[in-house]
Amino acid sequence: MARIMIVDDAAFMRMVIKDILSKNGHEVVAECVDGLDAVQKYPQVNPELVFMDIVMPNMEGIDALKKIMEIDPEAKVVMCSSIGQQSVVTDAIKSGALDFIVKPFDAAKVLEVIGKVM
Amino acid sequence: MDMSDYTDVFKAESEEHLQQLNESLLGLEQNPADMEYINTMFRSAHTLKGMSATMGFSTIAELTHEMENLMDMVRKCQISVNDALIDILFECLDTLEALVASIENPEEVNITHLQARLKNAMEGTFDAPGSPRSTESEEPRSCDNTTVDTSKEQDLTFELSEEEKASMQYAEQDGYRILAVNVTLDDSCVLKSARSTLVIITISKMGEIIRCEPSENELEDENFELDFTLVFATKETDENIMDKVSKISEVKSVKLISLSKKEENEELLETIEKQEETKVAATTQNESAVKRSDSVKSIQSVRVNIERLDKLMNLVGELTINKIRINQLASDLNAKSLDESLTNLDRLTNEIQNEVMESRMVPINQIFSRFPRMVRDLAKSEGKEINLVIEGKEIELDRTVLDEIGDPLVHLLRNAVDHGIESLEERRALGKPDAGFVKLSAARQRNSILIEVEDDGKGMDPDHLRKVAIKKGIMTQDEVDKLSDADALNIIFIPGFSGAKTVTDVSGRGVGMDAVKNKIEALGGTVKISSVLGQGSSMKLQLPLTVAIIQSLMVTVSNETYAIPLTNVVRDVGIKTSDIKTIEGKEVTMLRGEVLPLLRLHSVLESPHDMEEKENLIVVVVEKMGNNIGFIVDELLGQQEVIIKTLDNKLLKNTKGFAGATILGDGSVALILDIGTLI
Repeated sequence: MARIMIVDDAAFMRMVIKDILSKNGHEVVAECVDGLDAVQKYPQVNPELVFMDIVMPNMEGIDALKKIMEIDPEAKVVMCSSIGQQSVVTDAIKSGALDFIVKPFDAAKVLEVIGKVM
Repeated sequence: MDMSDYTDVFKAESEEHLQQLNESLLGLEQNPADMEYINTMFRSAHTLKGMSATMGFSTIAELTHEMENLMDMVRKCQISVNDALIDILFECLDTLEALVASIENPEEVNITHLQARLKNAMEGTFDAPGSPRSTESEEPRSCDNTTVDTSKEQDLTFELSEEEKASMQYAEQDGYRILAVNVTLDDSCVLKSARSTLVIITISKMGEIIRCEPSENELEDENFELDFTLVFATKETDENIMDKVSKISEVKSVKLISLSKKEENEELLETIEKQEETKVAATTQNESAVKRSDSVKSIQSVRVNIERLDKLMNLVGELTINKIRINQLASDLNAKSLDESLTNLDRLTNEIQNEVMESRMVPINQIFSRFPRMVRDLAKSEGKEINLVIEGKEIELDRTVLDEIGDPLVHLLRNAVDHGIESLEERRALGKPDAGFVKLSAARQRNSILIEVEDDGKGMDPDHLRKVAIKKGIMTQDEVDKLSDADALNIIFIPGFSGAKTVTDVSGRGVGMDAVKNKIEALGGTVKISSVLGQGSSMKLQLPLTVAIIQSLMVTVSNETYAIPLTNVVRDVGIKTSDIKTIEGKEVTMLRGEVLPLLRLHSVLESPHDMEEKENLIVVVVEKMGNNIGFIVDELLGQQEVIIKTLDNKLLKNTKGFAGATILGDGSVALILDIGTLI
């Protein structure tokens, strides 16, 4: 099962995603509170997959994605978006994000995406 | 997925975001040009939207979504910040607060009106709250949103350009095959444009895209229904392409059409109707042994239920009591060998006590942060301008104290805005600046917190207060005449007194200053008032850092030990029996040129007292309502930190005069006097 890093400024969202992942045998190797945190932790924990929120303080998800893709061009990043962010998600995909999930999402959706990108 | 487990976290975090939104909105109102406020608000609204949608709170999600849209337009300078816009957003925040507060028992909240107003705001037309939307639009709407993409059939119904045909030819010469892939997305797909981009990226990894129908721009703008077609040159096998494309989430069906031979000879190679995802089950089959690898833990703080902290505090209290007992036993037994371990025990218990106390501390900003909004609304409703300055919001104090002082502070601030600050006309006539100055400050002073509410308004008139007191029958002419001007201000603390000449919407709620004073004193604090007529007033609250442990003066009366909270104690003095005079049948003495009423604590407590009258008497001077009273006690034992055990069982609940009890080092119980209710 995958070693996954969660990036979201909302502790609530991190908790929901983490629970979904750990209940299904994945390991959450790091939780990051913003893009800056994610860029710092990525090389340390070297996760197999990153769930990346988009709208965050300090550094937005799209910028963090781009930085992470520079650090590791093979990085697997899935964007977590809310409705109303077409253009950013599109941009993210062009920048190397493998997939995206749209809030509200359920466990099935998260696991489906993991199944597809891993 | 059962989301109810997350309710607490959701609520706590939502409240933080709402607070952030409120603060930023206030900031924006002050500096409409500062985009950082709008950006922060946008982020908070957006996060709230995602969270509430995940919890299934659709009303919150809808409202935040529209707020977010509005803020996005402000961000992009499509609409400008004005009062009406700020008001609408404030109303949205109030509604959200109500929604978040009632998530456990959701009420039907109708937000359609608010949504309509948000929509109008986005169109640049503002309505006053409650008024129906104006039917006349000033200028005809320039863009008509009803145009729907009608191109539903795209089975290569489009014409390829000469240029495209040429590139196809070159590609074929180089050994590529030309294919058209027609992709239909799920009806439930939310971000169609992003999904289509994912398909385009996937295809472009396998070949060269020649044509995209609708165009990539149209796809990005979501200017399409559910399907689109890509013409591309590739060397990959059909199976491979089908596999990769149909693996993309939310793709309902994929059609692959070979264009290699002749265009008119379209051949349907394969059609796959994707089944509803069944792979999920497979991926959830986890191996139970999850490897613990070099994970980095990022959690620096945890949320702890306040009850747990209370219990911890209680246990620390018990520990301290036991420590004191052991200390006493050791000294009784003269057990020198215990000295070192006892010193360590002392140090450790003190440290634990401090740590537990610190863990209960929260920044006072948790309540201060609500006030700018409150003062703003209040000032606005009264047509006043208020410049609220807040200082010391980083000061920390015990959670229990914090919970209790919110209401008193609301009252004091309301008073300052409502009664303190004059109307705009009056201020101008007096040559004062238009904006009234109200300052709320907190500062730490050793073991207490000082909170001050200050204003530069009209101040309090001692003579007026005297007159009102007589009129209301609270005091007699004789009594008020005895009061100094400073003491006369304390009239406002007498129950039944309301300082307002007219009862207003905001302050006249039947909660007087006496309630404020009672609350603060119940916490072991004091309220001091000062005022200069025409220049303003100031209310100083002194509060203990914690309510669980208080500094007390230990005294004995009739061989019983009592604790008097140090916050009430002014000083202790020794007097002689001959110093006692009698005025109007009551015992008094002269202290520093002032008359000090005396009370014998044993008679106040109605405890038997068979000790002989000594020549030298010990008097503990305490302060109540700004007046000093002297208690005659038998013995002074000195100052001590005592841990309060509340008297909240059924039998003792209504006992007046005691703030609680504490256990002394010898295991005996001492009552803690509550000066406010004792006399």
